[in-house]
Amino acid sequence: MKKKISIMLVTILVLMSAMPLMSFGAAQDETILKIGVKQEPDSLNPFVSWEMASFEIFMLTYDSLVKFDRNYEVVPSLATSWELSDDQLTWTFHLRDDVKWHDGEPFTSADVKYTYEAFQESEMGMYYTSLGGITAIETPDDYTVVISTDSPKANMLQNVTPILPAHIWQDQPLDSIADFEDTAMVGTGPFKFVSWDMNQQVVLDRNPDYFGQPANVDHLIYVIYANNDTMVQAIQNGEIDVALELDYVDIKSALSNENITDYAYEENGFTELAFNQSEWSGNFNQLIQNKMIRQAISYAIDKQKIVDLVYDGSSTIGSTYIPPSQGEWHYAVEGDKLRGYDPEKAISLLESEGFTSVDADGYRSNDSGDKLSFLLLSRSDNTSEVKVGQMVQSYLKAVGIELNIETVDDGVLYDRTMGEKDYDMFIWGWGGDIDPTVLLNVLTTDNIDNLNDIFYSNPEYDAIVEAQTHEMDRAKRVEMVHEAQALLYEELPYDILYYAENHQLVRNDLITGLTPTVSGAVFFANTIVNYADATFITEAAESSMNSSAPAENTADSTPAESESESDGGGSSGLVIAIVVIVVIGGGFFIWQRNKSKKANENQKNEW
Amino acid sequence: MKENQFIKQFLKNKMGVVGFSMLVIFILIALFGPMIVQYDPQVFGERADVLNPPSAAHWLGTDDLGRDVFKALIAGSRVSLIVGVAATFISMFIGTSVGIFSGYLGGKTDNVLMRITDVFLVLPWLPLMLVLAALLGSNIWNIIFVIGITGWAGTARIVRAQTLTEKERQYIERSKSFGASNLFIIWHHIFPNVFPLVFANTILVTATSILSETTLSFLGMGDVSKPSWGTTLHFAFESGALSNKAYWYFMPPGVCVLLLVLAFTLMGFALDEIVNPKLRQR
Repeated sequence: MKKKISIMLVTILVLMSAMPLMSFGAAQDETILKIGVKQEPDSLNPFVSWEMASFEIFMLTYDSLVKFDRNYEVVPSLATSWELSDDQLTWTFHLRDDVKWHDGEPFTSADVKYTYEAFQESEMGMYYTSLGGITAIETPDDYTVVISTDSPKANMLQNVTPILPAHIWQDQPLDSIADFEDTAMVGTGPFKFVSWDMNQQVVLDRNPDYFGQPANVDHLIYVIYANNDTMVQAIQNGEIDVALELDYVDIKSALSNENITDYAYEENGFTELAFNQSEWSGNFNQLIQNKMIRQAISYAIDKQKIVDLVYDGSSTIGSTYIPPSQGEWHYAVEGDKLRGYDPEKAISLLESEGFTSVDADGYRSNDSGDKLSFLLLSRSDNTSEVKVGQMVQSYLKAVGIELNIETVDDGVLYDRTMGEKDYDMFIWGWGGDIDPTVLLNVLTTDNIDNLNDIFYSNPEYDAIVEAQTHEMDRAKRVEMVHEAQALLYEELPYDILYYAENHQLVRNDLITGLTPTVSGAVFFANTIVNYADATFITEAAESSMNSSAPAENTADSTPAESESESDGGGSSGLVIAIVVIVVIGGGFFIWQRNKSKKANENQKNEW
Repeated sequence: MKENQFIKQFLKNKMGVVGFSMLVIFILIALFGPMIVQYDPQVFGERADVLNPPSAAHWLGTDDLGRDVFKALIAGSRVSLIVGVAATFISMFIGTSVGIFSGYLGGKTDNVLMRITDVFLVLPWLPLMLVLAALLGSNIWNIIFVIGITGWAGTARIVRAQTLTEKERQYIERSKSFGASNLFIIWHHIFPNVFPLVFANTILVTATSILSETTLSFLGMGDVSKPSWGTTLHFAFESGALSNKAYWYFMPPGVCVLLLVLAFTLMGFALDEIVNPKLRQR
């Protein structure tokens, strides 16, 4: 019995060690760009997804009418040119006539019409908000799209909605489109989708027929890491070529490595302390909906110290909603309106709200016995945010507010914020587009049940956000975006904690051709230029260095084995882990049973 | 077995004595340590205090938020012990009840209870604990509950086997003929007789419970407001202490978990040898 188990274990271990090598094991002259990421795509359905990892994959597999270059200037993509009518209400896009979908079907204006209408009617996903104001889409011929709007649409050219193939998607009823899986992910983009192994990797292949500049690399793999440290080790060992989404504290040990180039940039986004603004259901402490208490919380938190300790001083403390990396769109609060760290002010705000009695633990309550005690949810897989939560807890304690922390994973957090709403605060972040509208739209009433994760509703704010999308005069539009931010800063549905500094590491001895965008980022930068430009230094050097790791693996297993592995796809790692546990558990059970049987027999003998 | 005889037996067992003395030290640390060494996990250092190596001011250096690792270690001992012991009590309570009732009542009750026990025996406990902890949320009571509810099956099996031998003894027959109820017999005769075995088993299960708590906390399911050794290990790992070679951050909690579990295991084996007649050396 024992032996059998151990043989099985060995087999499983061997299989496991062969896991990371994909079917590419055989073709070693092909180049594979391996990019380490922390975030798993939440879905590969553009109607459902809202995570950055998915957004990046959509940019690579699909195309939009126009896109951004390295300097964030709008450049042609599926549309070669466009005109705006004199009354600023009608946009005419002229499309390329040489574009083929990955399955060989020709791309036409019908695809654009289908995509825009489907997003508008379903009112779902992260792209829906950038299509606001469009009233009609006409297709006079196969390569012309005429888009009418009810009033001028300032962000028409900043709309990067991926165009989906109508011939695949149009038969899906819109009310169940969230459940549709285009497993081949047919698009027009420079990369073709191959596979997504949960918690492991997303594999893309180069599209040689791409109408723009095709990629230099043959394959692209996003390797998903649960732990920053492991990812940094992996790039140091040459297992991956690029490592993304890292904090300064993670990469310190890699900075001395001369083969690694560090691209630092301030992320186009923020991390916020979000306050539950939903209709009161009895599941949370309604005091959190008192603006003065929220302001007191904001005064009580020393954001600079959080940034110093958690990010080693490498991030910028937060203030207003649109991050400074968006340039003139960011509203800088000045003078005494800026809420700095001021615990005394926080206490006086709380006292003026009637929270004067202090209990033995130092926590405040008012005369009707309402206690300042809140529940904070924080994401367990983001250690920095967990630490931030602990610091917030201690700052709030200092002014007499009790904060209980629960760490939950992303999925649970999403369910609890969108479903049960049994929390008072949570820590999470948003990443923005190049145009501020998408970020501003998050907190609009219209986005409740879509992106608006705190159910915030403020008609005044809605009106400003709506108006700025119609303002074609940029200076005036900037003014309105500032106004919207000033409003949010005062009302405080989100307390913006910091704008994190992010790091991307690249093996400069393996990869060349990368140039940072104006934002400072190379990848995950709202543009795919660097995926096209990334080149392995030389074929010879590449094959000796980059494929050395997979080559070692290949030696251990036969090609047949590795092929069956890649066919298996899915979450085979998890399956195998469960098999191992069941085998061990089963073995233990049988052993235990034999033992108790023996014990029973012994007893019988005794009698 | 008489009490002084038991103590004599135990003192003869070197393994047990070593384990017991280690445990006493840990219990003393957990009881009085936090009174002597003041530690508030909510007091952070300055930026210059982050991940400093051991010094006179900080005996075991500082952690990623500039806090003293030594003080955290002392405070963590209490959490690790309390969670381990409390979870064990739940395990032992369920395991002993199921074992006794199953063994004593026999028949259908026995069948049903033992099938449930089998399910818990073959269930992969780590994924089960992770799922439960994720579902219930990570506060200290949930952690205790999760570990307790997953760890009782082995005890139930052992107690049932012992109950089976006890219930065939003549004095039980005699009690029955005097009209004693089942509950009376279980409480007054069966339980006292299986107790030594339960006791020895408790010690061993505690070791497992402490390891389980460390595992859960290390995987990020622990209660961050009551940091245990596992939580410290979690933050050490996640904040890159290993690649930064901040050995003072991850070594001490690791070694402490090892020693505490070793203490319980040594004691458990020693007790097992004494109370389990088959293992006893004559």
